[in-house]
Amino acid sequence: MLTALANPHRFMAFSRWAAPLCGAAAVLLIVPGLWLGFAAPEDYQQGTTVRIMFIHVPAAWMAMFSYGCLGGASFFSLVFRHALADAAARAAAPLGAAFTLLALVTGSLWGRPMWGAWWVWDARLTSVLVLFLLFLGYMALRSAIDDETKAARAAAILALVGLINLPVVKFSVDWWNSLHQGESIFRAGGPTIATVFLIPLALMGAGYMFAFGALWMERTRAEVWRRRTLALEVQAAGR
Amino acid sequence: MNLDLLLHDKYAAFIVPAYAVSALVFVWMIADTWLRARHWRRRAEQLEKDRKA
Repeated sequence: MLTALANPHRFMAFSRWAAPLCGAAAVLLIVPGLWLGFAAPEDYQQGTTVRIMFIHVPAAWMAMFSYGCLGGASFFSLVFRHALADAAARAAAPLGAAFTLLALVTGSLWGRPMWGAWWVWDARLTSVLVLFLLFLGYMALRSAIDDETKAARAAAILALVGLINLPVVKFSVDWWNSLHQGESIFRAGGPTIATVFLIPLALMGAGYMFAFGALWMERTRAEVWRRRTLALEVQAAGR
Repeated sequence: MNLDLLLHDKYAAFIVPAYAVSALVFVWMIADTWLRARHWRRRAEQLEKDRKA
């Protein structure tokens, strides 16, 4: 599948229908997710702030997932010199930064009433902040170098180095004493949260995933068109 | 939970901004992606047309 889509023509033909389809799937999942999230009862400890969880947790998942996509695409770009992989990496960065920002802001809005603080230098929060800075650094590095090939290579190396932060984010709540609650969904023995909260959370998580998929494909398409435009402008200038 | 109950909830000052920020960021992601794709597709198509002409 990946090999087939590495061809830009095949990718453009595939994403032409796959991107809107993913967008439609995202709407079909997020709407009932929001509905069930607001219909869910109050949590016995968190009260109604539990509703922030339905947007905070999927944003945090997508922050990590999008960095994984950025790292994977950077690997293929650096090792196999796939132009489309570089376009996909470039397209993933702003989306990842946006989801990470959402995770930080919504987490802060949950933390203030529950922990009594907008921010603490906790291992989980700090590693997510580092993730956000990595996305910003990736974008800044690409913009700072005029030669696109050199910029792509430097940014890909940064993205690959930054991959080390993903397990730190994931296991920070296990490795250090953390104010942030431990893993309650993707854990051995199954999720520990009540079904009434798990269903809207799962719908929102899947909806965010499809939304990222749709936006990522569309941004990669835009990047392919941008490169085609630059190539055509060079051709036109040479005539 | 209806909207009135949500707005009068004691945690409304935290829940409403969280959803508002999420909505804004989604609007930005969708608008920026769509406008960017449309801009570069049109430019590429125009240059293709000029080249063939």
